[in-house]
Amino acid sequence: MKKIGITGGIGSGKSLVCQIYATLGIPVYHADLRARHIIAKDPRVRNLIIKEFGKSAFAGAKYNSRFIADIVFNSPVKLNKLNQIVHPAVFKDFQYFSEQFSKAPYLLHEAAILFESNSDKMMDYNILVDAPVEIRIKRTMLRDNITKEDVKKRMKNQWPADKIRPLADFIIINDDNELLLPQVLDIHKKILEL
Amino acid sequence: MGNNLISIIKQIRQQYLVFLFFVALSAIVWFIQALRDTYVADIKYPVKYINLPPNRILSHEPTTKLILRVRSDGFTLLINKIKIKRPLPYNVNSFRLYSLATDSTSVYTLTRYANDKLTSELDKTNSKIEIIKISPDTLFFNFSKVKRKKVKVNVQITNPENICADQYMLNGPAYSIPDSVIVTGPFSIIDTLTGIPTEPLLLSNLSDTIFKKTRLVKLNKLDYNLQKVKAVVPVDEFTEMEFDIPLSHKDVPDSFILKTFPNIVRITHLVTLSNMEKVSAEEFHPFVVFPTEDFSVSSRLRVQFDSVPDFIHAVNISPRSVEFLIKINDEENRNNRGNR
Repeated sequence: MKKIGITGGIGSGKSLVCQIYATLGIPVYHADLRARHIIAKDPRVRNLIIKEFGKSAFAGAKYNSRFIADIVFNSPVKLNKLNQIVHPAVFKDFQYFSEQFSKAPYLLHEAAILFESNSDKMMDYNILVDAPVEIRIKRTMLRDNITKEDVKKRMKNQWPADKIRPLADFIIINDDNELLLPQVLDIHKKILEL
Repeated sequence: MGNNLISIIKQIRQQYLVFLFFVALSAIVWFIQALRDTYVADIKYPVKYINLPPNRILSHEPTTKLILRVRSDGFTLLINKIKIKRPLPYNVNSFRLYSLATDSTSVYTLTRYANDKLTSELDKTNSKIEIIKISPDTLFFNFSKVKRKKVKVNVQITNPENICADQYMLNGPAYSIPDSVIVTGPFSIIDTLTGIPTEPLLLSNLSDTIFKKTRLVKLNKLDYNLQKVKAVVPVDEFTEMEFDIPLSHKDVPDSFILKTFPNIVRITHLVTLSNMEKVSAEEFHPFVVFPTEDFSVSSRLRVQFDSVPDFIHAVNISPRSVEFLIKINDEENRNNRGNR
């Protein structure tokens, strides 16, 4: 079974693209959501995070994502540390997910930092959902009710699309002009034929 | 020689002036004498129609001036010609009225019936005047039935979009206290009358509800029981609210399943602080309609929504259109095959 990585910058619309694939019957693994789940539920991961970031990383049993975000989005070193704790656990979880859907024609692995975390190497093909920076900023501001500066700060922790484009096998343009569905269906068809 | 000539000219001029004076004096005497004689003359008089038949109102007024052929001495006639005349009251219902239509809305009367009454009216100011003839000889009246109705008052605001201060907005439409007035007037007008406007209020920079006495606009042929009402312009601070709401699908045939991307839309709107509590996601019903013609993937469906309460303003929906997939409803088709 083929494993397809799908990524895109913040506000690029990768969740919407994944929603379309899910409608086509393709299982979608949401790495970021699963990571949050693992952090909350896996005691080993939890302890490693507390050891690295202190007890404030958790407010009681609840993961203090705002506290962690403030640290890692301002320190690439700390971000790397967090990734080293979380990514192996997420990868193991993905393996389990793959086994569950072994009969699907292929499955998608959605991650915001697919290439940055080297997860792309474990995929058969990789899709980039791309949109102009200004549109991405606007969408994120609207979606998360945050300032332009906050969006830009988050963007800094992701590779720019220019760097990812040459590495991606497929690119979906989501610029509010070009329709998504024809692009998704076209890639879906190609993957099935590969 | 020269002095003689000047004294001759002076003498002639003096005689000439004396002559002219006596000519003028005799003309005046003649004129006064002439005015004592009796004459006949036509005098235009304004007229005011009073005492209309009960429950009737004039929908079309006949002539407002009558030409009276009168007989009197010259003095009286001269005064009547040059003085400013008060309208003569024409007591309509006191004369015989002839119907032109079965519903007695169109009638006529002969003005000669009014000779004596108008003469007595004239006599109040002129003792020696006699009306010989009145023109026109016939007056036509078009009446309308009088109707009373309670009619809503519409508070008019000049430039209603720009009356509030920043961060404030109208908290509902402007209204009046009382909200309606009793209007009396011709049946035909009252029947179609839906509102009485106030004189437009000129307001600006409002940051609180205002109460202002305002005059009602006088509409032709209508009488109101009140001439002024208290206009209320409700103003309140506003805030922006937003809801993420799932899209519903309309007119989808049983044999198909419609999938939209995204299937949730964000609705933002403005609402006053006092109405905030009343707003919930249930107020909004965004939907798309199953496409009847274009089944291709190269199109989008427009997101629509039903009407929202009038205290919600500046409703914006994002995205305005969504992409869609139509799937065959296998279960429904299987059931249909099974039923066959």
